[in-house]
Amino acid sequence: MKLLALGLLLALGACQHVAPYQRARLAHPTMTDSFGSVGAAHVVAIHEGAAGGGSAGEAGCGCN
Amino acid sequence: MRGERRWLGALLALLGGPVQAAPPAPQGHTVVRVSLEASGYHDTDHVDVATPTVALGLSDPIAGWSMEGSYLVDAVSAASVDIVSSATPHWTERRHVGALSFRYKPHELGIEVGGGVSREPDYLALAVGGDLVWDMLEKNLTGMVGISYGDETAGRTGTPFAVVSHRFTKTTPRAGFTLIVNPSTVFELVGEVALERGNQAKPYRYVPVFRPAVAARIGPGTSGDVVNGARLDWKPEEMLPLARNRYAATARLSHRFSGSTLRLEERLYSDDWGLDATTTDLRYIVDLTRSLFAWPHLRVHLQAPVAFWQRAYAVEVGPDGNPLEDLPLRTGDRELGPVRSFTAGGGLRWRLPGQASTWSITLQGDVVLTRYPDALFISERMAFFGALSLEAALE
Repeated sequence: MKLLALGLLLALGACQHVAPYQRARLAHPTMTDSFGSVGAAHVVAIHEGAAGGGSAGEAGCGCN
Repeated sequence: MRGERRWLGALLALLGGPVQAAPPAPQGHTVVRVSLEASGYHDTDHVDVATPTVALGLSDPIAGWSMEGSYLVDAVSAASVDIVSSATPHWTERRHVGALSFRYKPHELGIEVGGGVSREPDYLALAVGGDLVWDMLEKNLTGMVGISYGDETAGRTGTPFAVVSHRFTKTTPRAGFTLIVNPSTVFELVGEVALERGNQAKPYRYVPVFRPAVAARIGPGTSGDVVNGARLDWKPEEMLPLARNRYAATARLSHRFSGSTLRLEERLYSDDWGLDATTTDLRYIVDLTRSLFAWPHLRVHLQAPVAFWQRAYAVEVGPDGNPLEDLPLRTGDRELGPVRSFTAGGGLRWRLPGQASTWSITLQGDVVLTRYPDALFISERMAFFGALSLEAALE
């Protein structure tokens, strides 16, 4: 939680308010689309001893 | 990827979402998303995996709801050194994975719930979870809190779980935020704590043990034949601590340049077994044309071993050959040892937006070199991964 708070403070200090009409670049598909793949995510899961990274509600695999 | 979908949802709301009480109310419409992916994996440890995946999603960006279901099957063929060294014949098996999720975010506050199941002959994993998200500062900042719960059972192929199985649960609270830094940059930070309780040891995994004088001569990458010739007859099952607390913080930065986009991710990980890791993932996506994108992909994962990791476990034995002491914790899982993994690859996406539909075709591939500087049997593995996917969004 301390890390989250620190990150939030640093990020807020560096950012500027962006109005909706200024968000065209943020809406570009290379900014919004996923570029991973289901298969690649599984390769990562079985090759690395660490876990986590923002996933929610997904099943484990038990491949390790 | 779930985090990226949250970004997508948040950005859709930012860009296209209705302002509350702004007349006239826009008409809702349903968008159907279909995705098909076929991927293949091969490595120098004689493991091959083919994975077809299908996903179907329905959404109404105006009304603020979406739902998605996916199914994949892994067909695994393996004759890895771990299998061969335990005198187990080459085997094949299938893993089935299904997942469902539902999201509702009509205005600033939203909720997402989901669940999944993964089933293979010797393993069953169930999971449910939910996230609460809310927009702040005129949607420049989106907060998230969530929790998931998983229940996993490991057994032996061909033996019912009621006869032989190990079970553990996993509770994962998390919190984070997505922040618009400037008109070209988005930053996301997510922290997770995974509280795992139960026996995670695999009933099919046995650990070779040596006399102390012999263990000192067993170097990294020692072959299965040498290990089997030098180890004690006593070959105990893997034994792991019955609780594990895992901490991960992941930062993502996306920046749009005039004709390219940087997607950078850094994860820091630590757990109370002593495993510390850092993972860096980078894609630099270049606009070749308005609808054709190409990118290089790099990933580096470095980790230190768990505190009870030993390449060659050693015990004193009596005149009868039986061990004089116990090894309370022992493992042969290379992913719990020191690992250095380097991934290099790239991809190509052709995106065809239309008035009533958007199609995209993606081809990507990676080469993964994984080094195990303190493991038995192998000291490195080269893996090759490729995937071809087709996605369609139909309005």
